[in-house]
Amino acid sequence: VITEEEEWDLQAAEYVLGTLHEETHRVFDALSKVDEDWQRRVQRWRVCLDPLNVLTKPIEPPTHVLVSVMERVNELPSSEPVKTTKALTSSALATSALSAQASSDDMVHSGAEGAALAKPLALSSALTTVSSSHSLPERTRTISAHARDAADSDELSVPAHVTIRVLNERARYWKLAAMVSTLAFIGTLFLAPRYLEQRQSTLNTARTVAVLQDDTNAPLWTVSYHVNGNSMQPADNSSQGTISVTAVGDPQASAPSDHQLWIVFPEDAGVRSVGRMPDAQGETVTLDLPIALAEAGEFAVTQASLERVPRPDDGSFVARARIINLIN
Amino acid sequence: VLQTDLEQYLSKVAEGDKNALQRLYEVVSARLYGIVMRIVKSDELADQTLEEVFIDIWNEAHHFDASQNSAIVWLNSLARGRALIKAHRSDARLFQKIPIEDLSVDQWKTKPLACTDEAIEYSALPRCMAQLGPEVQTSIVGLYCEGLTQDELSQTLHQPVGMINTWVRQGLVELKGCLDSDY
Repeated sequence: VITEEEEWDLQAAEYVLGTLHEETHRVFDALSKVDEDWQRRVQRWRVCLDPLNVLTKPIEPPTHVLVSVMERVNELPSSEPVKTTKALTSSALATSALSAQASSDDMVHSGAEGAALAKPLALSSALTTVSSSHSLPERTRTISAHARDAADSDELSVPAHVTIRVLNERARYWKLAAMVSTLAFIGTLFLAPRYLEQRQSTLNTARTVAVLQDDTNAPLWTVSYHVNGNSMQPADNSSQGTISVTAVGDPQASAPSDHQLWIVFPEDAGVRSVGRMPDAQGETVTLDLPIALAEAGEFAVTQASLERVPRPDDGSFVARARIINLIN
Repeated sequence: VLQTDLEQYLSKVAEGDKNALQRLYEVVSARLYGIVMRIVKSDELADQTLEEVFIDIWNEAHHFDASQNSAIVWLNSLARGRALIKAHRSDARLFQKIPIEDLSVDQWKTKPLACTDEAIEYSALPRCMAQLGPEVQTSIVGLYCEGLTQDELSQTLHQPVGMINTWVRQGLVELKGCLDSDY
């Protein structure tokens, strides 16, 4: 039985070998531009299989090839770094997904078929404020001062009956402390599983399942599915699952407009609205899936101003991408 | 050729140094042309492909990161990727049946090694490949080195495509297990 992780590795290996169907290969080409985890898997296989090239005999190319290369290079501008879409790490995607998920309570549902806009959430600034409110040196100094005071008090000379009373008080204190500790321990035994369960549900990962590109194959949006651990099961078992859509490119530059995300059923058998897309580069929104991911064929994007349900073949889509769903 | 030399050439190419591109061509073109020719199986296509590979190198050198990647793996991957696209999308490539002995990994033992010497010396791949069944080894070499499609491999090995796919996937799973245990 192959696990989900192994299946991704196998797909990466087949991507390197060149055995994937052309359309599938194109989907993974798109993923390579935006998903660092996928890049890592592919790179690993490239390195592992590269020694096979030693089995191929070097052949001296004809001289005219170099001449042609240099002629073409002379016609080109110098090689300079070009603006590229930085690949997002899985953790970055997951973080943006979770940030968006955290803000889902603040979502404004805008009517038509569940279209939603997420308000940005300044999680990082909130965390910064919390961590800076107690600096480590300050706390260290306070504890040291308490310790010093306690040591000083032990040096005082006191009568025997006072010493006995103090010892009795200390004994009561330790008994009380022991009781509190025991209760806390028992409480932990009861509460820990529930806490871990809650934590597990929030520590879901976001798996990139589609990359929507413009006409030049530059990635505009990534669609990540919130999965539970390493499985492709929805993180939230009570629904069809949620997706995070991140604008990794600049949609406004390619197609100035608000955009709407749709699910296209396999074999162009219809569409279903998912919600409003993020349009500012770097913005992420979380959307509830109206159907299970396994039932969907592709994601597609229209201009939000379309104000009608598009047909898959009527030319309304400004971008569409097959869903990478390794379950099927 | 040392990896560090290749890295330096790539670094200079990234800065727009045409002489560095020419030097790089002089040291790796034979290796890359060999890889390309074996896949596209046509002089004309191989010439076109190698030219495109070096234009890619010129345009993409600034993406190469020596801390993340081996220069020779990066160059080989570019050449192989270009050759696969050219081969699979071109009607000009005539499929010829490959003698099965050409798909053997036994050459590893006898072949004089080129600029990937270090890679092969420290790689677990030969040992891991040796643990695979002969038909799986042949399939992987046919796909990787010859750039065959599953259909072409099916004709070469006289086996159904489904069987080839099973061998390849099984082989990759076993390879991964073996390579992982080596890390």
